[in-house]
Parts: sequence; structure tokens; C-alpha cells
Amino acid sequence: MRTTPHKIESFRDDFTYRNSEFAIQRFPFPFPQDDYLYSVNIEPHTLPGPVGSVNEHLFDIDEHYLSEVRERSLVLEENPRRCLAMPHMDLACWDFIERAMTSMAADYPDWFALTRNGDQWHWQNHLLGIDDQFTFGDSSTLPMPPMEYMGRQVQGDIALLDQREGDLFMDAGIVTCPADWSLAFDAGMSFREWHGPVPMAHEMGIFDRALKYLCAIQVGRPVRRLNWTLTVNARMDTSPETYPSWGMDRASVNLNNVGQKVHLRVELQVMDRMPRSNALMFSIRTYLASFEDICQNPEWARRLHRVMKGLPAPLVEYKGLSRFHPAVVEWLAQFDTVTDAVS
Amino acid sequence: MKLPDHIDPRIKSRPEYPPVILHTGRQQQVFIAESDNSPVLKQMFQDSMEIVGAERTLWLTLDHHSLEGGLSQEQAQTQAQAQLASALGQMPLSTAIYLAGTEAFMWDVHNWLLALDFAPDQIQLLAPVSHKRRLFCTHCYTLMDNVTQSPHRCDGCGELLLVRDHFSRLAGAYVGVCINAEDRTQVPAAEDVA
Repeated sequence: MRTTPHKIESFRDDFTYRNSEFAIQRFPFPFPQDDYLYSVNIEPHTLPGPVGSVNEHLFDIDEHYLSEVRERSLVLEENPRRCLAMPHMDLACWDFIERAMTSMAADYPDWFALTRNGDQWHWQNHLLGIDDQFTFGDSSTLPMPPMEYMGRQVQGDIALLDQREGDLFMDAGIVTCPADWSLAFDAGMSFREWHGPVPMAHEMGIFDRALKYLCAIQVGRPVRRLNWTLTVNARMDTSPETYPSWGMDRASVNLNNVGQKVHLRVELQVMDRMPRSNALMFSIRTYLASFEDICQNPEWARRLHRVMKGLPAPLVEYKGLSRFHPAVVEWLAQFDTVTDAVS
Repeated sequence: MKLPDHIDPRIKSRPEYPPVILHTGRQQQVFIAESDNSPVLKQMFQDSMEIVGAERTLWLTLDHHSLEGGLSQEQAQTQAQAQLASALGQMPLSTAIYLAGTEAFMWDVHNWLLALDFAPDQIQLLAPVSHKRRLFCTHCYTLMDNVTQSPHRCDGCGELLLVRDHFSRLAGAYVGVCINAEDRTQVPAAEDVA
């Protein structure tokens, strides 16, 4: 069951981040079959989801809350431009505040409280010791810009996508734990543009279909999908901005340390229509589990081996796995003895 | 996993520049050049003069690299933007605009035109006159103009940057990413970018 977040662990330097048994059990393992296939794997995010699961609530608050909030503040201290909102996105930012505060207060009443009297709002975040009163819609009554204010109180990255001309534009966000993409560079890009570097999926028509689907999302009917990659060490901030400081991690993997060092990084991506601005909130909630954690589950371990073994070369390269992919496959083979005996 | 039959290696954010067509049905024809280095635009301008006449045809040379005049890059850009606003402020809704110059110049002007409330379908960009790129360092956000080779040493943080094809129209720039972050001993030879 969910317990009150209390520990503060690190996602850098000494990497003290660890998952509890509960966190491992609820980990969103992303592979429904033995080979990984690009697909428009979008499904309704019907709320509430199963009790205790990552899909139970719109914003999943778990045991790593304080750690991730602290990590976010470290990233923003180093580089404030990891959060941005173009002027025309102000209303969308307030949409995000409303959606986050109302759902978090309703879903976790012991941790968050919201009192509304017209446009006079009182927000309490007991986990972070925040107690603020402000005028809804008036950014001057908040202690910082609205995107940053709320973004600092949720786990996972948030992008607010402006919808116009039948397309989605990356016009606001707080992105401090991305899987190798830069909000500062991708700012203002259309849906196809910011997915420009993704190999193969354009040819498969994935983005055309996904864009059509996303533009049709209705208020109150969020959808979700899972995405994944591998990260060396429990590093949340695998951004291009900081790549010079973590790139060499990829050369540190060997057969003896795969289990501890290599982490399956899964993004629970939720797309939710904002009622006032018609923007789309795109939340990217990242979960990290070491291969040792994952391989406690024999089915996951076997499947992970098969997926990694069959991963097409363009994807190995695109996901930045080239240096340690062979070690990963070799290490995982111990959990898939039947396959290896046959082959 | 089943692969698509054909994998297009191009990065899809990189703009393509199909042949530009004169829209002489539009009330006003505006030709904007970075300098006199586009014979194609000049020819289009001449054609327009013949077809719709001088009254409905305007040529504008917009140099936003006025370093020789003692201006900083930012000041030169502000000046160019003001020149553009002054020249096009009273243009009719039915105006066709044609741009020629380096890629970064054209996207700068394109963005300034949008800020002046012109619509994207009023603006046509010719193929860039050179392979010179503007580069955005993804590590320190420095912008560098006239980059012709990859890797390129960042003027800001000093990282050796792989010049990628991922392009931002807002910045008019390609992204540069540290080429040897995973192995600092690797220093690849520089090659011309296309």
C-alpha cells in the first residue's frame, strides 16, 4: 500500500535511490509481448485505476516524491531554462494548476488540501510544507510563475501542448528528467518536428495516427501510453543539456555490474485535455528500476531478455544503448535458459 | 520486430525547400534578400516586375549581420526587424512574400513576419544560398552562425559538438550535441555539413 513519502534519496553522485518491494510490484513493466513493436499504444486512462497501481490517480504520488521534488529543484537551480512557458500559454498553465490541485487534494487528502472561495484559493501541500493563498488566474499572486510553481510539486515532467491548425505545439513545460530531449531546443515545435529524430516510426505512420488521436481527446477523458529506455545508474536527469556529465556512464557497464547499474526507465505518459485553453497536458511520469529489481520477477526477466535480444539496430542506436547492449543481452540470458537451449 | 520496408534516414524536423512559385494573383509581391546573392530571387523579382508591374512589386535587402556598422548582432537584428515592420506595415492582406539568403536568415525573417501577423502560407522560402548553419549548443544554449563543419567547438562551453539535422524553426538553428561525452579520447575529424 501507499505510504507517506518520507525518504530523500539521490539521483546523482552517490545514487542512493532504491525501490521498496511495493514499488517493484507496482512498476509499470512496459512489454506486453516478447518482442517490442512500435505501435500507437494509446489507451483510455480511466480513473480511478486499480488501487495502489500507478494508474490509480491522475498524478501518481509515490515513495520517491520528496526525492524527485528535490532533484527537480537541483536541476532548476543549475539551469532555470529547464522550465518555460510562452506568453500565450498562461491560461494553459492555470488549467494545469487547477487539474493538479483539485485531483491531488481529492486523491491524497492526507497530503494535499485545497479550499476555493470564488477565485480565492488556498492550497496546502503538507508533504512540502507549502501553505499559499492566491487569486486563481492571477500569476502575480503566486510566489513564482504558474508552470514552475505547480511543476515543482508533482513527480514527472510536464509539457503543455498548444493545439492549433490541427497540430500540437510544445509551447510550455517543466522538463528536468527527460529521456534525452531538450525542452529549450524543442520549444515551439510541432508534433512531427519534435519527434523528428525518432527512427522508423514516421515511415510506419505512427505519428500521423497518434496526432489525429491526440487532437481529438475530450475534456475529462485522459489517455495514456508507456514508453521506455535504459538508463545507466538511477539518474533522473538524462537530458542532452547535462549529457557531457553522464555520457561516460554508458561506458562503465560490464557483465559484473549490469544488474545494479542498468535501469529500466519507463515513462507513463498521460495526455489530458485542458478545459479553458484547449491545450493538451502531457505528463511524463518516470519510473526507474534496476535490472536486479526487475529480474526478481521471472516472467519480466525472461521477457526483458527476449525484447532486448530482438531490438532492431536503429532503435539500439537511437536509444543510446550501443555501448552496453551486448552486455545487457548476455547478462539477461541467465533468466531465459529455455530460449538459449533451443537456439 | 517487423521493420518498415523503407527507412528514410532524414530527420523529419529538417525543413525541405520545394521550388518557389510566383503568386502573381496576390495584390502585392515582396522579395526579401539577405544580400544580392540570390540570382533565383532576382529573376523572380524581374518576372514579377514584368507581369504585375513595379507598383505591386517590392525588393528589400535586409542585412541583419551589420557588424561592420559597429552594431552588436542583437542590435543589428532589432534594426532589421524595425526595417521590415516599417516597409511591410501597410501591406495588404493579399501579399505574397519570397525570402532568400542563408537558412538562419530566412527563418529569422519568417518569424518576424509572423509577429507582424502575416500567415505562414503567405511566405515562401527559397532553397538556402549556402550550407552554412546556425548551431544551438544543447549544453549551454549558445547560438553560433555560419557553421560549416561537424564537429564544431562551441563558442560558449567549449564542448565539441556533433552538428545534427534536428532543426528548430523558432531558433532557425540545428542542434549540436557533445560528440565525445561517452569517450573523451575520441576527437573525430571535422567534415563539411551538407
